[in-house]
Amino acid sequence: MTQRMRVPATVDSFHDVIQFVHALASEANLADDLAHRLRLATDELVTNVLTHGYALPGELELEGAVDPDRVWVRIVDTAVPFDPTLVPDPPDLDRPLSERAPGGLGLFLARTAVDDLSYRRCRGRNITTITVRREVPDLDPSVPHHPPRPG
Amino acid sequence: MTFTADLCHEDRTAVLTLTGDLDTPSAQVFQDQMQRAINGQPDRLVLDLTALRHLTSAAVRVLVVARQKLADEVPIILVGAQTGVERTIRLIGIDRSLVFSDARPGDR
Repeated sequence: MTQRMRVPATVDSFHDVIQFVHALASEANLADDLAHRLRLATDELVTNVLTHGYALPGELELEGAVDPDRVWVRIVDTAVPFDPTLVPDPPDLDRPLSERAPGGLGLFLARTAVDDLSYRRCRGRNITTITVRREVPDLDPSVPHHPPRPG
Repeated sequence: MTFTADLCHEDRTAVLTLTGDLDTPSAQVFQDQMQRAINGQPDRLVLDLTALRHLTSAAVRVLVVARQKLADEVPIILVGAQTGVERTIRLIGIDRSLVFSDARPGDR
């Protein structure tokens, strides 16, 4: 079942956003590393909206669900159009810290943390979806397996 | 989980112990404590990450700036980084300018 949450697009909402992701990870029984990656990507994408997205007060909508083979989180905002998949990787990842610019790492981390990141702009909304594949345990062939009913 | 950053000095070593989740809202606390550590002009800076569960790019920015402010001969030593935290640091490639350790320098 898809979970939904709508919060003001402010840093004060950050805790609620993280709780939302924690609940999904817990429901999916994700391993610590996968849960960490899902949270990291959400952190970075939401931070980007809060920091750069809105000139005036706005809202952030989160959707998410646990599917048999994956967990996904969708971040929806009405801020200025922004496609996080088009931002190039930082050019200086191989340079020593003394020669690097401090910023520009968040979206790189978000993209690399998850198995899929997609974006679309629809009716004035940025819709960004991140997906982490679940590690489904091998099924015992002696036990009948009934896939979940659609819907 | 609430983030805390406790700074203490052991001789010429600044030890910053981080606990909890280091994300966007808590990055300012980390930045302030890191600046205090730098102001003390330590011979080395130890970050005890044993109880740090989560780290984002906001924290990495603070590490980058700290490395640039400290003299080249002052090492930044990361102690006890958990898997997810270490993965983030290595992914960004800043691990080459930092030192990883399983224990604090001087610990037996």
